[in-house]
Amino acid sequence: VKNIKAFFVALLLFGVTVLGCHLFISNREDLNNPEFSTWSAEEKSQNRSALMANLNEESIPVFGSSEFQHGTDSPYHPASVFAETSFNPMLIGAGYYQSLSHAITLASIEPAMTQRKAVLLISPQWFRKTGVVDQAFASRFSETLYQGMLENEKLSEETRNYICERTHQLLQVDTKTLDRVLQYENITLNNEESAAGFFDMIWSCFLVEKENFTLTALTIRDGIHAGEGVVQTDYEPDWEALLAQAEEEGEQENQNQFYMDPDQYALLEPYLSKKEGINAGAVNSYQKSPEYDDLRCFLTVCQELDIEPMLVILPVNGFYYDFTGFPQEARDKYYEKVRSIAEEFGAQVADFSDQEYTKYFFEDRVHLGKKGWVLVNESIYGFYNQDTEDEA
Amino acid sequence: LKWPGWLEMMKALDEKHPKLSFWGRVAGFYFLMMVLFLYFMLANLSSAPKFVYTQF
Repeated sequence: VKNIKAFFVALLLFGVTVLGCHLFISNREDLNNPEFSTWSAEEKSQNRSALMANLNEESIPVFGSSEFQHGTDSPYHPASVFAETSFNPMLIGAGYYQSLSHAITLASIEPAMTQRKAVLLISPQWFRKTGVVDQAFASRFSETLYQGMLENEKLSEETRNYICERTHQLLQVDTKTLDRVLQYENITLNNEESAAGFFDMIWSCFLVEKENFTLTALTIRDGIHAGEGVVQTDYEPDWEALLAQAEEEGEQENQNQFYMDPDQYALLEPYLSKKEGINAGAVNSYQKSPEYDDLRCFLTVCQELDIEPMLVILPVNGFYYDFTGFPQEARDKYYEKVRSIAEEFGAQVADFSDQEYTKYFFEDRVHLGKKGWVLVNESIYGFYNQDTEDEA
Repeated sequence: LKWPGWLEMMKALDEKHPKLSFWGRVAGFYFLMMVLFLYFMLANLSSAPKFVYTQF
């Protein structure tokens, strides 16, 4: 009897603790802090409710991959450049987030978007023969975002089917998640009302709570607390000054053949002898890839949801790619293919393919560095202002 | 302390320190519930092979 009594008292205390946690987490979901937008933790990109809660009237989702996690402490990263402005680019992505997962995310968070614009930073490395790697896709897959995509009624059946089929293919390496995905589809698309629907609802609540639990811990760790919303200011970044600063810093730091950051060059240097000419036969690289169809899918999602996209075509580090023998012709053909897809969908393009040989554009072989970030940020900011000008 | 050991210890305290024994039981049950809660909150639900960044 004593044990039972103690158990129920413990249960009561446990209930109070869980409720307290829930209330604390719920209060921190909408941080109303522009720092959250440019915060580059990967967990943010998987959390539908936090992304939606933190999109405001000055937010544009900026989809990309690992570049967001590079140079976060530099004065050229979006987190620094846009900190003083009223613009809140919502950075979404990490390594191996590619067109398909971004299409799912966009369709999922679209109901919360005030600005009907989206930016996609496209890396050439996405367009390898395999497209997105299945294990990578599975490791970045978010069930809550996928459920949100399924619930978006503005998506056409054809587009939704494409996303579902690709997801099924790629989740073959994660059968447990695939089973749950199939169940969500049955419940959401086939209106299967049964006990499964009830359990799905409970499960969804658990997933949201679980994601928010992790995210709350991370925001506390990284010092992102509740803020006061959009910064009301006319301040605009001085792009010319930033570019000059990047150039000057580069001249002081980067004394290597690829004009990378010195610490990144130091990591690469021991392997250089193995890399020389290694890609000389890659004449067809980046030419055939399922990623092209995934990119079309992303643009179709934009069209169907009435969102204006801008594709940022990121180049490769020309100095390094030449060193490995990667043919210029293959690179040029790749850029042309992306441009033609953008044209097919009437998407705006910020084309940096002519910056392959711009010194200090890259931090390493592929990631944006000082000048790269300045130029890309400027293009994104221009796109944002274009939007507000049009509305005015 | 293992589960039976902890309960046995509380039982032994029953006569001399009944209140301590009771709250000891409560603390034990509470601890177990919190462990379960944290396990579910932090569990990796994916059965995908561990993704190694440098693998590709």
